Amino acid sequence: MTTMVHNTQKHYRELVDLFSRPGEVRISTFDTPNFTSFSDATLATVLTLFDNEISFHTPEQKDYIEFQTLTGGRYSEDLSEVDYAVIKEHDLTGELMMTIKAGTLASPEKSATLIIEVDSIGEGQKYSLKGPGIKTVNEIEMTFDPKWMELRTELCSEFPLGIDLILIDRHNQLAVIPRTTITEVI
Amino acid sequence: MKQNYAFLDENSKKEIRRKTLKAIAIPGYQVPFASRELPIARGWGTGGLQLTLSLVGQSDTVKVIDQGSDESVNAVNIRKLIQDTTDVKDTIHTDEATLIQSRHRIPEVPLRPYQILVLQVPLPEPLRPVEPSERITKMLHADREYSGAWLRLFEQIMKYGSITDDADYPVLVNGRYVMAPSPIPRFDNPKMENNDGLILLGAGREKKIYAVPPYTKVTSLAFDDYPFEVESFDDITCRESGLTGVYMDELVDEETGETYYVANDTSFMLEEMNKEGSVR
Repeated sequence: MTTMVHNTQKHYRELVDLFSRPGEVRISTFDTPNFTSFSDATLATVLTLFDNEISFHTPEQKDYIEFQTLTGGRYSEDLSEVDYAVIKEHDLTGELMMTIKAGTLASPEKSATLIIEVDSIGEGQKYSLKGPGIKTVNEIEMTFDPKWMELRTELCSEFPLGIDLILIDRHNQLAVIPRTTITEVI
Repeated sequence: MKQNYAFLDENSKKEIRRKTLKAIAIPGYQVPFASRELPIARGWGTGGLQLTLSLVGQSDTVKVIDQGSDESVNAVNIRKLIQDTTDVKDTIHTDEATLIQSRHRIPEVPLRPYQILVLQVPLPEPLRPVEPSERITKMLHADREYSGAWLRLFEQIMKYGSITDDADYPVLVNGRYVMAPSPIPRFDNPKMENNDGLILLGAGREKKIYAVPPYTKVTSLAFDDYPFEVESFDDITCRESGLTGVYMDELVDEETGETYYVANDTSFMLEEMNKEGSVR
């Protein structure tokens, strides 16, 4: 028998693998009724990580009401305090990127995780990735504008400060770029 | 008795999971977490156990070892608790396991990609011997101010002529954080460097989770004129298996008073002895 307990466990293990191997791509098979404007994999990530201890931001009202109802997470307008932002790439703004938490030197874990939904992982802009979790070099193609990646690199320039990105496409593919990864447009 | 899957309630797991992902994203940094009460006492592997319980799922095969042994009381009890609450398969063979919880050893068999090694940690703070205040050690980590850790090694050289830390020998992870690798012998330190699997470390009593992702630079602290050295077992032979060059336990034969050695990683020893044409 599989229940939500098993589904979130399985999804978490995918996230563990992806966080420890930046640039790898997994397909989520998480199956749950989805009334949000995001893909099932995005909802799965929200259900796996959110509860009443965290705050999050997402632009559309119908989405944040759904996330709040399902997880008990606290919606916040104040981007400078949220732990998670769930957002589609075309809704990203420079302001959002520059306002969210990047942690402090004493507590770098007090930073935001961005869950970004892109159109496609597997085609689009090619990036090369280096850093912990990558043997030599990893390559990933996705429709993620280099200008956002540049802002992310800026936020992560003073390690351990920085943000972690969970990227998800419309076909439930996931990839992770943690703050340690050095990205380059190729 | 009815219990939640993998003992912990879902909210506890979520919190541990969020902190674990942060730990993987910041290699070597000790992420504070709200360590839960468990049916075993704090300091007996609760940090490792909470990590294992937050990770374990139906498709896992679990191995639990205590100082290299699958059969010690601690290992058996922890394995039973995991199995009673999850029904997962168990194994003693390192390469068959997907999830390995260990106290004070990294197995002799190298980790495979996607394998997860969970280490139990009693004292996660490498600067604690030189600084009792948590608030100050946190600032020292923030400032990358590790003179204390270096000075401690230097003092050992001045006093005894060599570095005397045998277990829990401090390492520098990804060039940034000095980390306590848990009381694994020095022999196991080099296994952390550029390793294929993921290493998670959990300290239940001290409420810290930290991680070494795969393919990460992990260097043991040392000086140019006093380089890091592992214990050598090259000229020592295991009495049971004839193995050499692996980590050994030194024992005394009570009848003859003679000192002898036995390989510490018992499952590895068994595998080697069962091989066709093995030494014994």
